[in-house]
Amino acid sequence: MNKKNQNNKSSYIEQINNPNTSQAHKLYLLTHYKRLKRIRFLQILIIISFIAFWEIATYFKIIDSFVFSSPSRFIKTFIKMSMDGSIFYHTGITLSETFLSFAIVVVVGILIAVLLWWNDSIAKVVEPYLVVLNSLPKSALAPVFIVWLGNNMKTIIVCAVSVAIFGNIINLFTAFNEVEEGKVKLIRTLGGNKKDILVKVILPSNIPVIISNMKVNIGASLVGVIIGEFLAAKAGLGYLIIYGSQVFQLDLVIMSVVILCIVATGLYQLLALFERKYT
Amino acid sequence: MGERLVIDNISYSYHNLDGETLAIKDLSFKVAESEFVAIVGPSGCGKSTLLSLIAGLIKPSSGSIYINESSKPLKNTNTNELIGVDNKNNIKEKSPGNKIGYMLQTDQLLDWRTTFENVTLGLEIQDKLTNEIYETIEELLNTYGLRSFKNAKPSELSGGMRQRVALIRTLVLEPDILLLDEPFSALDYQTRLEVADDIWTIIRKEQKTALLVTHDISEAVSMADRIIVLTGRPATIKSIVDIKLTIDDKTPFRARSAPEFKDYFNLIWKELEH
Repeated sequence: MNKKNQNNKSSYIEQINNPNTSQAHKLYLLTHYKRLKRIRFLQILIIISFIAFWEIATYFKIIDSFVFSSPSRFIKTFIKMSMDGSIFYHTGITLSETFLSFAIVVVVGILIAVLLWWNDSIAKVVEPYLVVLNSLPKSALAPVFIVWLGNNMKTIIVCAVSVAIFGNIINLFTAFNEVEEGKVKLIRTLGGNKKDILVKVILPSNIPVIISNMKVNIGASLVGVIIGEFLAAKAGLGYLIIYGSQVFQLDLVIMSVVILCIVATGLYQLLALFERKYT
Repeated sequence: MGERLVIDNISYSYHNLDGETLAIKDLSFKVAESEFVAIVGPSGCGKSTLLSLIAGLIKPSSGSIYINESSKPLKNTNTNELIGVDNKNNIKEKSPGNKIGYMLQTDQLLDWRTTFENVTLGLEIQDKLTNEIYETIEELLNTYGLRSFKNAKPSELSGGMRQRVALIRTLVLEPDILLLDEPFSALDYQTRLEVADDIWTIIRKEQKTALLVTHDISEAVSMADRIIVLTGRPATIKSIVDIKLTIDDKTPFRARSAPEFKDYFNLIWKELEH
């Protein structure tokens, strides 16, 4: 999407500077880019007015800054926690837990989807279980994981993996089976066996699906990590949120949520970048 | 010399939960070396099934298929020994592509591979990539006007070029027989005539034995030395027509203006009707 826009933009400048461009076309381009600019302006306006209103409302005591915190208060908290480095420690914990679960979800997800594609009988047998496990709200399982695995990082990882993996398997398996039958027949007519079909057709044709699934998986892993940290953690952003709410330090809670917003966006953009590069 | 392909009294049935459908019944014919044979028949009569049988993708319910005289027939199977024989056959004919080149209805080029990589696909699978073969491929690409598209992706090629790449992909495996399963049906009419000329000329030049399945009578008459007309399901042989056109320097396109062309067309049209 972004790449496209950039191309459009450079072609826009080129066309505007080109003396051969007709007046009518220039007008069309100008209107189009004015509209894009207006949209971006409104987007920024919304976030700035929201923050400004929040700050002013708490300053004039229209809302209670003890309960609602305020931009200046959570920024102060952020600066304080940056000084002693603790915020980086907690963000780092959450990030590394997310990356670890994400890696497990991607690798194990592909392996299981391949296994199901390979053996139709296994796929048929486990299908209802996959559907149930996928629709089950995994937060319901988190307390069970604590009892089984203890109050530690293992629980958090298992929790995050359980949130993301079932959907991943189902999506990949469906995509593997949607590969055009003619391509499979082609490999067979060239003398290939099932392994050749997998390696030459199924996997390469599904790289875009695998990568777009990764975008979903990274978000799901983050959700799972936060659920896990709510219940079983001594560090991490999820832990800060729960701890902050228990000791009524709403500055801490809001600051963690804001950081979480940034982290989630950053992770998504990272994979979107990866997607543009490889598809 | 002699027969490249012998179909000896084969039958084939489909099985599904609603029952058994006889698709091919007691079919026999022979194809000689370097001969171009076309098979026409009503749609859904089991023409493609016949090609799948010859390619060894499925096994006949009864009867045998011999490819080259020396080779062993594909085993008869009956339900009792289905599993055992299937396993044996799978080992023996691990790569049916060795002797048979199969051109599918659409080119099925893999989008993520370049022209060159698409051509080498079969060789990779059969583990036959050698330096000499690279030279052969280069030559074939040059001869058939694909030199400058060697590193292009399929999406950059025209419909005709794509079919040529698909044919070269099949030819580099040096098949004894080429099976063509309506290979032009996905093309628009004009491209279709051009590609038919292209493909036919290449097949003649490489002196390959070819078996073309089509529902297009004029395509069959213009390309084949002999036409086998099949009946509707279950497919049996209705008649066999030798095509002799008085025309110099035959290509499928020129063949269409031969004086006998419309007579053959009408003859086969009638055969298909009744």
